[in-house]
Amino acid sequence: MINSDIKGVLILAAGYGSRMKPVTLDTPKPMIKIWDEPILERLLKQINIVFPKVTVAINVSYLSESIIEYCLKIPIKDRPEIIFEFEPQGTLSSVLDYSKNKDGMIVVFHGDLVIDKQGLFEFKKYISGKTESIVAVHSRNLLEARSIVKVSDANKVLSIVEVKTLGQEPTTGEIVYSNSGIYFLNSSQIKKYPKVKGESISPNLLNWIINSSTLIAYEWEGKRFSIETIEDINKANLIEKFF
Amino acid sequence: MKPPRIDKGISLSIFIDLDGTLWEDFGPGHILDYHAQKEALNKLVEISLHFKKTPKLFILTNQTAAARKIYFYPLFWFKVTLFLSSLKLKKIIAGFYVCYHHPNAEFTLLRKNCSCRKPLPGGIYKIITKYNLESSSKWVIGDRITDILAGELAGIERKFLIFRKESLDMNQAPKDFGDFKNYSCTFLPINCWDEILEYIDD
Repeated sequence: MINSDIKGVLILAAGYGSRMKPVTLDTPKPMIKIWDEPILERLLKQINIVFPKVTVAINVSYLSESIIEYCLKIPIKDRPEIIFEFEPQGTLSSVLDYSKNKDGMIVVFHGDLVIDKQGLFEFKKYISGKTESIVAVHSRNLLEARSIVKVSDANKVLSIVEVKTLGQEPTTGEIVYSNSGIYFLNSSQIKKYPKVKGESISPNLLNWIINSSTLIAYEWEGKRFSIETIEDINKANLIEKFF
Repeated sequence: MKPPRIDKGISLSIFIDLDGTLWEDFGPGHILDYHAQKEALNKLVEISLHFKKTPKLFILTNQTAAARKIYFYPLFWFKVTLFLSSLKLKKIIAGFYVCYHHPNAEFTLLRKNCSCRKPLPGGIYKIITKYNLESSSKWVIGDRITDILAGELAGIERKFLIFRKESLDMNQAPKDFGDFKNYSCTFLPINCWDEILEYIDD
């Protein structure tokens, strides 16, 4: 019997933020300010509210000092654990390393996410008691999507395809499901994944779960956006603030 | 970093490093400095008085002053043992383990690739076995990657690293330490002892 209690929350914050240079030359992406507050700070506050008794860890690497220095300002009882990577390993290796000492369900967030707290509460309600792995998805114009998630009528994920591997840039703007960067994963299950350095969760791990068991899609109904380009910062600051 | 910190009924054992953790790191042999010993004593007394039963404090340290021929080994060993044993006799600490070895020691008797020198976990294992700590909850507090790696390899639950710029320097780990590239810990500011007390107390 697999324990469905959440054993930990991991925030992925080790990447170089290559698509956001020059902003990320001296600031890691999670520390970029949206509405005068670092993305990571907002996310941590929300996680502490929604998952009050769960251990939180952040994996860091590139420009890690600023993230660690920020964490030192957090009261020790809420201070996240830091997983230090001497060089970014890829999101998949980070998740596998994190899950190796866990026995149960873990929640994983990309560190560049701006979400609303209510959406996170809804997600928590949905995952409660579940033991299948779940990926949050949201509707997005194909022209803006990076990761296309095909879902069956029964909310099972059928496949995940990265747009960059499609062979050609999409020219039509149909609405598709896109990966939201929030995962609920069964650590006992993903431990069996053959570890390969440098891979990412999507599509590698997610497709492996689809092939070996079941991956459920959860439609994220809350507000969310991720900061992927410099234009996103400007766009985000024009949106009405939410928490 | 959230509760449960210490499960009810399970004792807490804390492995504490010396140089750079209980006093500022002035290099090998500083353990014999009167002011360093006094500083360590004050901190350890504060911790031990703060808690009636737990935690059990253990000193775990690499001391290379004799290996580097800064001090004559028997005398150095005697003085270090005297200092740490006096802390133990006064029940300020529960025990200690000192590694005097160094792989490139000038003093050949101490030239050894031992398993007790951090970042290897031999010292921690010896304390766990000697004091029967298998079932106890365990923490490590140190100021170097080597402290954290030793804790990681020994399967210690919570690892605390006092944060300095050098804390992130991989060169502190031995060159031949395989592909062990990552470590997990909770960072602490340099003046961390009030926080630690508050956290254990919570």
